[in-house]
Amino acid sequence: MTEPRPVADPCPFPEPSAAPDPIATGRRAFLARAGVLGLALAVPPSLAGTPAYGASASAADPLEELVAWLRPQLQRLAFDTFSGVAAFCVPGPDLYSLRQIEVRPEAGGVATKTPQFLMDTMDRYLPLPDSVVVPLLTGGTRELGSLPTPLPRSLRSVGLGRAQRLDEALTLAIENDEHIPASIVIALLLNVTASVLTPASLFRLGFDSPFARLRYSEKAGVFADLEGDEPSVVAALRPLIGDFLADELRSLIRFLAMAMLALPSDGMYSEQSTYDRAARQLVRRPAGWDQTRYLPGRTRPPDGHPELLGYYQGRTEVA
Amino acid sequence: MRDVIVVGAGGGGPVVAAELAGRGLDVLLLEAGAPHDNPAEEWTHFENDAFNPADGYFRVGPQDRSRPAWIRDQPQNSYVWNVTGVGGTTLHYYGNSPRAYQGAFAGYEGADRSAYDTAHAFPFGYAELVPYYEWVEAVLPVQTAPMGRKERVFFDGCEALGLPVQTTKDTHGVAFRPQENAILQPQGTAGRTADSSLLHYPQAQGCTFCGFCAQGCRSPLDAPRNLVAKRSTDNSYVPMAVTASAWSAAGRDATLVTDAFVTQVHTEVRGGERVVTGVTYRTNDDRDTVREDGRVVVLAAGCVETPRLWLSSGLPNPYDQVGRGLTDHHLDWVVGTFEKDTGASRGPASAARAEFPGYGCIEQGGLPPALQAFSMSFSGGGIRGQYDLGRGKRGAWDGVSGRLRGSELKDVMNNGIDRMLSLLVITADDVEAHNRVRLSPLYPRDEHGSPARVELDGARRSAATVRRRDYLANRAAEILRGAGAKKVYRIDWAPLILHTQSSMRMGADPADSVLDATCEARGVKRLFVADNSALANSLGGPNPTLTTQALATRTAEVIFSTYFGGDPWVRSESPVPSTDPRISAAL
Repeated sequence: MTEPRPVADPCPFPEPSAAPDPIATGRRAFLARAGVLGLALAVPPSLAGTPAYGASASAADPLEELVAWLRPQLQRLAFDTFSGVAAFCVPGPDLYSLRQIEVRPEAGGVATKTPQFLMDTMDRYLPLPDSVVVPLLTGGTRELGSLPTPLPRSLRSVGLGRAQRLDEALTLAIENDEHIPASIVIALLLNVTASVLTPASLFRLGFDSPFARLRYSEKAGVFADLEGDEPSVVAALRPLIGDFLADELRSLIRFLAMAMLALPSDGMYSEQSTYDRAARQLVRRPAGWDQTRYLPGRTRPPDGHPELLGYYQGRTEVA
Repeated sequence: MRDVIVVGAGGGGPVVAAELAGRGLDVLLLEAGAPHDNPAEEWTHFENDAFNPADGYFRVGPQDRSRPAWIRDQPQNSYVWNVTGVGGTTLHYYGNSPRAYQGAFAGYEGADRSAYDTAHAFPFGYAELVPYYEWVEAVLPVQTAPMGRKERVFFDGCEALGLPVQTTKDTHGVAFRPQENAILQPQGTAGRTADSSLLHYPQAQGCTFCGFCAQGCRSPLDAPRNLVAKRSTDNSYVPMAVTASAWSAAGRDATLVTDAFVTQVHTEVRGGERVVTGVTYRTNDDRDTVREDGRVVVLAAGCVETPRLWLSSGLPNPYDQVGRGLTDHHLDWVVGTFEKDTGASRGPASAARAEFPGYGCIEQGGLPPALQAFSMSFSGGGIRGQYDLGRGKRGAWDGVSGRLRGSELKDVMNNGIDRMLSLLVITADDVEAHNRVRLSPLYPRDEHGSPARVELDGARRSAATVRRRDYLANRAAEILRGAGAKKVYRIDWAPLILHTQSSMRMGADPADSVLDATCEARGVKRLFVADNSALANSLGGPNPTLTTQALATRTAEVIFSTYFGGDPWVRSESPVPSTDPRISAAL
């Protein structure tokens, strides 16, 4: 589980030595809403700036290094976001459930490793179509960023240069990766929607993910938006990407929302969190089995039950 | 040159393969997925291991579980729940084998005739299919289901409502009954113990009440494959097909090739007619491409893959009917919680049902916990108490319909998996052209061609379909209350595309069907379809597999008599059951 940490860190990094073209304001706002701009605060100083003029041509490309640094950070952001989803669907006594003010005394989705389960399942099951995802996460996001929502001062203070570098790295990762992991796309989608519907999520301290900072009813509002006639993200993008792609994006979002709301049940109540796949057996009983009193006392499912009561009205066959 | 090439070893293809192999034809049976020839080593009773859509052993994908699943483009809130591999979707089905309602067929003159989708009726009368039903019921075999606790609870509810009992295979009116299941009845120690040491064949025979129908049946322990309790085609028709010489004097063993994804159906023009000539498939983990020629080709890859293959192959589609008219029974789920043991997770997954001709039917379903929680998390109507997408329905259940999430879900689950009972609403849904399978406009082509797109929006169903479904959901809630449920929830499922029918439908009118009344394709001679996609409609509600298998038997007769000079046999011979000891020995 990712520990919550404040987003309002002071900025210790110098601005890049060469000034690139300024990043579009809307794009920077998108990065903030997606939870990505917060990552800029943790960019190592050596990766924060553009290479000095006259640097050795043989030196490693700093942008490539930044991309390499960014990928696991995006995974961490996705994990944070999916932890918020798991707590929403099957709450427990964890910090994510606490933050949404919907807590249960017994183990929930976070304790049963549902966030990682969701990410793994989505990444392997759903190769998202580049034709929709790349425009969504690159040029099209200016529209999302320009939605009328103020940004917190902590993120406004992220230097334009650093935001630009991060954006370049994100764009490079998106455009170069064979398939963008679905989990990252979904996490960005949830975070953008969360921050658009609940701007206060950007100002709240705690998790990296704006979605994970929401209260329970606010999270429900995100899913209501995603399952609705025209999700906020689609409405913002439609003028830019056209009706065909907008309709496709809307359809895809509805499918993803279904998956986000349904799959945590498998994460919580199946054997996945305690299963040794190589040995094809459980290492201990899953929490979901204990909570539902399924196969009491067993770690190995039985081959039968003494359940036969006979035949209704004694009839063993019909004509 | 093969006599017959069958594409797909799911619910229907193996029927054609076994019947024609029994007649001595040279049959090639191609299956894209895994052989599933060693269940004891490949399968478990665990839910995620079986059903994970990415790498579960029952998924839509290649046999190598480390390779990616095959794409199903679903542009809506839905889940297509098919299975690839020998046995196809019968691997996880419940074996429920009711006959169709008579109103789904041409010539029906019952008083409730107007209650059916008569515009898309089968192009022949119900009586035409009865001998084929009887044949398949004997081959599988289909038997009256025994009763466990959850069936007793369901029957209590039906009795409380005053519903009559049905004691025939044919349905003539509103009634409840034990399922007619393609599951061998328990004998010996089966159903009487949880001690695995006592559940080996032959001490135990038939259903052991293990509760894992959906994870693949391999009970009793050590049973010969053709004597495993559930009669999925991996246990019944496929063993028959590959041992035809053992049980039929004229028989010739069919050739089964797995890991064989068909990518192209070949045709040529002969004498002014387009005629099928064979297929190309990819095998050896997609490294090799093989061409096979056949005198007849039978497509039986399922309601999604058969139209995809047709369209991907560029076969004729003059009326734009290929893939259209997909029906799914517009399934819904009604759950009751109890303060007593219902035995919901034990025994065959569904062994009791209620018939409501003109509307559809209801069956009880017992699930293990992850599936049960999933079933209550999957809705087209939002989250109870939070939002309803304009669909919040009220009725005989508590509150509004919608999915359970958060503390409400946990409260229901923590009440105990065996202190609830769930009823599946199986609606007589109308054939609607906009519900369809087509080639995805979004995903790029891969080594198999363009992926399939399944378009079936739960919010765009005909008014009659919605009315029938609401009626059945109310009856389901009443049955649960009659059985003593303390609280009843209606989930209002999004399309769980599990019962798929009619995407290559047969019909009388070329303008709204793909196949003629013999299931031969219009526009391509010698090309037949023998899976659920050939069904003309959703049968009025009953589960489709038995009807598909009866129709496939009829199709086999047509192929044999039309193209190989043989005589029909169903009305003149006695069937060999798939449990025949000669098959066991040959395996």
